[in-house]
Amino acid sequence: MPWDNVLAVAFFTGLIGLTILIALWPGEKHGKRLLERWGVPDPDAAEVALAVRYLKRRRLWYPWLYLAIPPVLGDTGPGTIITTLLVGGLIAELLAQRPSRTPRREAVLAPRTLTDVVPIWALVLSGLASAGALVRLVWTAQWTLLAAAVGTTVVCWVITALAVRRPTASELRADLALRRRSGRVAIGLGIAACAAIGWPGGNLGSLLAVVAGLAAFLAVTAPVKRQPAAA
Amino acid sequence: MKIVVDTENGLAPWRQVHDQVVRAVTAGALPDGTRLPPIRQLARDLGLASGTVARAYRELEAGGWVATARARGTVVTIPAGRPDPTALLLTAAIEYTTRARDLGADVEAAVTAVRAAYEVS
Repeated sequence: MPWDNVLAVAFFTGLIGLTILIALWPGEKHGKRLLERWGVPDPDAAEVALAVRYLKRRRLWYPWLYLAIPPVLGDTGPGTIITTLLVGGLIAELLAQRPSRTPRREAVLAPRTLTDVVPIWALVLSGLASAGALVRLVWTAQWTLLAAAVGTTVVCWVITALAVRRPTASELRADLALRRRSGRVAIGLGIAACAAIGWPGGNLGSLLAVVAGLAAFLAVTAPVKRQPAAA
Repeated sequence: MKIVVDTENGLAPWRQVHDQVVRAVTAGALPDGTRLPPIRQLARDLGLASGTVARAYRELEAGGWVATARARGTVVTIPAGRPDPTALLLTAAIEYTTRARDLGADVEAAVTAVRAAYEVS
């Protein structure tokens, strides 16, 4: 491709990415709504700021991933959206692992486990969806899809593990809510993706699998009315 | 139960962790058998080296405040002869009352100050 074409594609891609980024950029209203949805009623200003930072860490990556992934995957549909959300979530959780550098630091004197973030039934459902998809894809020798299912499962579980592992913020109530949000959305996306990848083909069976996957996603990420105090 | 470490207050971070756990156990905020977070989790959350938190846990274990079991991790234990939390609270209240009287405060003013202190701390 000539250089002027490359530059033109890069320019327009950047312009589209910037437009999406501006549309997605979160404000206080989005942070407050996010916290209330995940069980933090009447969040204070510091909690809202934490939620906005949490959203920014993700949404900063979404436009560029959304534009970069289709040529790699050869897909412009739901596969691109799910991959964008998962990779964006993974980058955000990796960034959140950086330790606090402020002089005053807070922590909760209680062990934090995987089941504090994602309920056990959702983890079991995720295991069943992944195992079902893997067995079916091995059985039908669909190796490319098998690799996609394995990759999706690994990324979802890594995001969840990182959400448990990341250092605590001072706003303990919001911190726990955001950990739960990360873990549950990742596990929910993993279940839906495995259902869709494991049963391809456009027949009744694949339709039922996709519907079941979507229902599981909605159940896992259902609104949390109120969460117990973090400390 | 929250723990706060300030790296600029002049006290070694391991000592701050140690003292806060002792205070919480003494006050009854951490009852007997309560599991403490693993060393690595607490170190990560507080932005400290694992060795710093490990030292605090070692000192707590040496003082009989916690016990480390392979399966259960680090759990709070009641050392023999530990003061009764109610008695400790009464002692603190007597000290505060004496100081409040010196300042000319009556019961209501003293209680109002306690309530205000609870709200800001």
